[in-house]
Amino acid sequence: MTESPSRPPAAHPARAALAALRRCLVIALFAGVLLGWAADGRASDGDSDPLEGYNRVMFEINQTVDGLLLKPAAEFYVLAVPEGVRFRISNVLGNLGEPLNLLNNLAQGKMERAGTSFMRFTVNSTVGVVGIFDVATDWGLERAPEDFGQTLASWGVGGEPYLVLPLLGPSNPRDAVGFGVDWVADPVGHLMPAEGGVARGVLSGVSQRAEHIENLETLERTSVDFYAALRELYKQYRENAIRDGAAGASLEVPDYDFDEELDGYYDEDLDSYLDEDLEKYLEEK
Amino acid sequence: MSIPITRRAFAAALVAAFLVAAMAGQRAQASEDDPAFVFIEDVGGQAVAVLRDKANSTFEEREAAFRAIMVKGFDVPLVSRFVLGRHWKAATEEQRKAYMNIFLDFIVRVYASRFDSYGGEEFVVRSVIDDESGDKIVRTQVLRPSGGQPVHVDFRVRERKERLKVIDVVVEGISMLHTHRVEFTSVINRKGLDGLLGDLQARLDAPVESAAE
Repeated sequence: MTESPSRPPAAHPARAALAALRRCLVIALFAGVLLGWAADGRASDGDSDPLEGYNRVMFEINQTVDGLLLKPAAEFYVLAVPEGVRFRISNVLGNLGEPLNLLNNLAQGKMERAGTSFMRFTVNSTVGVVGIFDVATDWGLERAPEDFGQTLASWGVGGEPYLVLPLLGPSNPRDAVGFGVDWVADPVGHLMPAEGGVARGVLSGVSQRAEHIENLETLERTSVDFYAALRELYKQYRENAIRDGAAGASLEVPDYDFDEELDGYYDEDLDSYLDEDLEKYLEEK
Repeated sequence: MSIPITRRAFAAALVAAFLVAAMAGQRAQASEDDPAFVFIEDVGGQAVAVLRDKANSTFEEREAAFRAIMVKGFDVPLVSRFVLGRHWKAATEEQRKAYMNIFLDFIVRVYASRFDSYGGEEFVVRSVIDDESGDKIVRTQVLRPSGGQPVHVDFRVRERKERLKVIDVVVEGISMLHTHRVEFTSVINRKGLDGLLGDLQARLDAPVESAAE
């Protein structure tokens, strides 16, 4: 018997699992967004976090899940797969994201960047052998990543309030909606068989987590409030992505009156004797 | 037949790719003579030199070198003061002194730790932007030896007493200065300034794990 293309979608276990996962995520996103919008309209100054109570609880839950599942998986991946291969895998995954970059660039009217995404996908899928080699970057076509959260931002939607999503982590209602829309709209997702979609999702989760094992450990070890540090990191990271990496609007750093305000609280002589220390160190090495 | 069309599209793609590459190369920088450009090349070069030969140094030695680089090249008093925000005004004399001492140790530990995973990278100063605040923003890139995406690092430079000083380091758009301010405010709001001082000390007392093996 030949396989009929019109078989019911739920007949395959991978497809069913994907559908279930999708349903869970949609519910989680929806709940999160409602929560976020319910809290919006309250205090909205720069560092506001009106959902802090809920966010901290969800952050702890996510940390636990990460410690039990995602981080060990990422560590195993790092052990089992050599760095060069991991690098190629992340190239392939990045290349599969280019059509979505293209669509979001178009939605924002960024024609030059849309062209870059198109060219990158064309060049890397062919010359770069399904994206294994990022030839485009070598040719001066640097990635022009855009997602629907950024598209919404370009249409004027703000990034408040901060919202920690179940499993997905740091976010806000805008980016949560963006994530959902990207998932549904992703052309590559529609063209892939269900098993491929699941494999792609798991692999990109593990691969991205693996890239940050060291960074996150160092950040946690060197911060006095890991939750607040990640919250601020996420906000600035998203603002930077929305600006496409251009130098940020200057955050004001006042010029303090050193003679009056800081006098006696630091040792100005430090300057001179440390100079010698450093020169000695650099000479020795 | 669709093959010729695909080929033509592909050829067009190639030509366009080369044009984009050529344009990127043409955007020459005119800011190489800027004192801030030279200053950051110098500071970055020193940090790179410390991180280059990690097999022959301990983390403690590298941290000591970072301390020297930062005391010399950073406006540590300004950073300390800014990060504490409005809580500086409410602090007592003793608290301020304790804080100034501990903050220097803390920020040195932070930079030494977070940059310790770097090794064979190349550090390139790209351009200098005059910020509307009067500060200079020096844009740099850290090029990975493995050939991954370069890391963008901006240094915010301010002049004080005729010496250039770094007041902020912005890695991929994330400002160390503002992240610290937000983090410290969060701790002070929950535990008070003495609580923050205790937490900072605890971080400094914790064992250091070096990224280098």
